[in-house]
Amino acid sequence: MTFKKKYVVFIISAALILWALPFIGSENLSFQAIWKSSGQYALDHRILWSLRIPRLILVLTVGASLAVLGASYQVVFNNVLAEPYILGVSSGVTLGLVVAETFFDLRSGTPQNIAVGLLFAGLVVMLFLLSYQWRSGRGLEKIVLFGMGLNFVFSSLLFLVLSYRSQSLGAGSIRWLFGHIPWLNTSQSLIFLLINLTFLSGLWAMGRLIDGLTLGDSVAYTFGFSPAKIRGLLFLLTSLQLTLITSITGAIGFIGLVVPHCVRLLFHPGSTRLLFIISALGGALFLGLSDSLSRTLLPPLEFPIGVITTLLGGPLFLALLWKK
Amino acid sequence: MEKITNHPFFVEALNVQLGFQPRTPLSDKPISFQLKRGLITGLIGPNGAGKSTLINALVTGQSIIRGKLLCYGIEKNRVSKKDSSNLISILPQEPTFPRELRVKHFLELAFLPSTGLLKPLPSVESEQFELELNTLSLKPLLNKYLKQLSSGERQRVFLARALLQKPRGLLLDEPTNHLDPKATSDFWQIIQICKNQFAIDILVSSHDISLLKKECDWILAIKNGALFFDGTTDDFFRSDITEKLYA
Repeated sequence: MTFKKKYVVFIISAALILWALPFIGSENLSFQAIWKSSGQYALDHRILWSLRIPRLILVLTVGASLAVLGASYQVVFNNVLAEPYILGVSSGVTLGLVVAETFFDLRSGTPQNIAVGLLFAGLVVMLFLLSYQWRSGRGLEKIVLFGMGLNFVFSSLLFLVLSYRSQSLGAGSIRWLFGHIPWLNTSQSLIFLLINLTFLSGLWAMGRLIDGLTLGDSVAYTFGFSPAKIRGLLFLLTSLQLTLITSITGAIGFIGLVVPHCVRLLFHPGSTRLLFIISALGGALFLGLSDSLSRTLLPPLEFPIGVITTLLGGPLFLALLWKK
Repeated sequence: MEKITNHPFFVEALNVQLGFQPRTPLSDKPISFQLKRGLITGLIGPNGAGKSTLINALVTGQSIIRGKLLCYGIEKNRVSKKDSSNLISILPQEPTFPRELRVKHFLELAFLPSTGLLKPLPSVESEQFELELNTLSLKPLLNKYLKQLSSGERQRVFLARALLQKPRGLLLDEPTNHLDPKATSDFWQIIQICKNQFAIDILVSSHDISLLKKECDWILAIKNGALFFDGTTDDFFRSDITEKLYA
């Protein structure tokens, strides 16, 4: 298909789909309802003009805007993975809205509600504009990391507010979302330890190969390494271990992001193996503290552990990024 | 390794066709050439001519559709893991590097392939590093982080890493691309010293014609995936072949 043909096909099919959209729904409407408002078309006419069309306008506007916002973020941050939510503005807004609904009884869509959302979004924007990275235009990946950190913190706060509203903390299947620590007996926990130690020693043994990869694939080839094989093996090992851990505790956020980054920023380890060892100690210490906190903050309630790790580690992480 | 040491040629191409997809070689004409040892060979050609593909093929053994590409008489796929690192090393065009690493730790990584997975790497203090560190005057930089270095210093560190691998041949892929004129001439001064001091064979790709004229003994020019010129630097610059190459 030539370039020109592509455009023609795209525009024609878009026009056809947009034309058909308002007539599709739980009630399929007849086309005459557009202009006929009497007799058998009265109901269809009202559904079309007072429900479907306004909704369609909203939906199309949001879709178009999000796509353009995403495109602009991808260009500006030079990152194909960037999307509109990446800097944490919208999770700030969501948090603001839920706070407004929960504590101030504001209904969604009201001007007051939007104002509270704006307040939180404004805070996030201020944070960014004040930061050194933003002013100097350097370290784009750090800005994105900072946004990820904010996202994590806001979503845990959101979870806390939501659990306050429903008077339960991470009960039922929701607990998998933010992680929870089950009570194992001694032999179970020892078996868990042994299996994970086996995996970890595998990773430790691969440390040298991973060091080789950090020099770039072509250098790794001259070392006699095969980058594709090393990455494949690493992916296999980590996936297996991650499956085991997640099936016991659910997904505990933030440790995997924060601990290695803090270790790098603080210790500058000279090898991947040293990075692994310090990270292992740091991660163990961090989750141990988080677990104690989660059980002692509001006994006998147990906070979801992922919320604690995020609220503990989040600010620390953001502060470290901010300083550098 | 005995055979390698006595082999008369650094790189040999025997009817080679290169390409990324098995059915579509860069050119229908196969490439054949032999690079003698002890020389600095300049690899030139227009963008997209296949310079990087050739260098990549030497390093990985991939993208060779037909023919044989040999380094010291051996195909890449037949080199044992143990010998691989002492055969050729490379200074990639856009080297990736861990920014938070200190120079000394980065240099120690050159001994990864020869040390084995469980033994500790030799320390930068040991005598295996002495000659390279002195030749490239890197001692003052050892405790700095890679991210703190200037482009020129960083390129010197990358070169030292490649040399510490103790290779017989060295591939330089547009090594002075990001360097200012002073750093460029410093870099080449070091290259000339290294060539003699370490008895190393060098293949360098570059767009800087005047530099190649000054520094190289031999020129290999490729255009549209085919061999365009293979001869001494003097012969290359005596003719009007440069204009034809980029025409």
